[in-house]
Amino acid sequence: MKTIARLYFIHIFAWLAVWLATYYPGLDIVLAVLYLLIITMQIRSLGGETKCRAIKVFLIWQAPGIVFSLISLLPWSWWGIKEYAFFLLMFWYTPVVPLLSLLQWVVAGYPIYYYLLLAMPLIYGLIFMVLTRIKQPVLSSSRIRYLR
Amino acid sequence: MRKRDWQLWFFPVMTLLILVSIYFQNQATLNNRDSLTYTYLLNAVQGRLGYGAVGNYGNMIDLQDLEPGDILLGGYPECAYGRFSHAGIYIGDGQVIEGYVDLGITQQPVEHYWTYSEICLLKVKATPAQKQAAIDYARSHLGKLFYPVAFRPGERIWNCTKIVWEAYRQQDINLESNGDIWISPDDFYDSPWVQVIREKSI
Repeated sequence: MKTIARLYFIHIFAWLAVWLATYYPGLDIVLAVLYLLIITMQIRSLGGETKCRAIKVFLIWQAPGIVFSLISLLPWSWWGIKEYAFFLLMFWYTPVVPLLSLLQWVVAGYPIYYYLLLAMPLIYGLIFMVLTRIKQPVLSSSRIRYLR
Repeated sequence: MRKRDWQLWFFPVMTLLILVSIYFQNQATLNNRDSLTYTYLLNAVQGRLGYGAVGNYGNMIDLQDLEPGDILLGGYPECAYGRFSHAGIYIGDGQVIEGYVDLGITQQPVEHYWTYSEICLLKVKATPAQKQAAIDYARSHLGKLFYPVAFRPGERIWNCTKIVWEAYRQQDINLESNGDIWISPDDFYDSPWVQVIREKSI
């Protein structure tokens, strides 16, 4: 619970800081990179957790992104819910928006950032999986004895 | 302080620093009750957050005599930013360059402006060469990222109004004179650089 709260806290304040930093072009990119770095360090610290708990942490942390992405992918839209969901999806992933703004390709009528935002829960999931599988360096028993 | 605590407090501290910096740079504007920031906040308090009640209002305004470089404004009832929520620059052949959250800066047929309940066509007081340069500027940004609350500075993050404003600003025509931190379609309507061709409210 503490880990999830920590990830939400970092993500929400990164959302605010990165959005405000877009007022100073360039600073937003620096903060987006720092966000990825901090999140990477946070996720790596989960390396010692069981696979099941790590998945649970990821799903709860990224629940808003997963829900907004799935609604945006629906083939129909009730009362414009699909359009609002994409708005919210973009807001949720604001910490990486400056990096997406560096891309300017259009594929099948949609800009590349559209596809990347829809796939963002999957991208986060893959990064999360890779980072939690990397073993943390552990102290050998002799070193622990020495430290004692 | 524990080793990982800086990771937790880095973004709250940055948020505060940037907020204070923006405030002090724009103190006069942000304290002005007519500013867009004030309008946003006032509407948010009253529960109006987005672009209003979307629908097909069928205004059927005459689009026949639009010329390249003209500006189109559209709005729905209960819009949070003012009378209008959307803007686009007409580029000829029934096409308009505008911005949407999913399509980015995009080129679309002009007829969809008939869906708005508030519609206005504006002619910019500019030479044909300036208008063409503004269109070329907007066209060179097709596919760029749209962010609903994009601030005025920068050329990577856009919204529908900012791309039109910047396209003309590059030609030394500033369609927004309040010096606010963002641009709204209503700024174009109030600008001395434009004249209303026609407008309609449903």
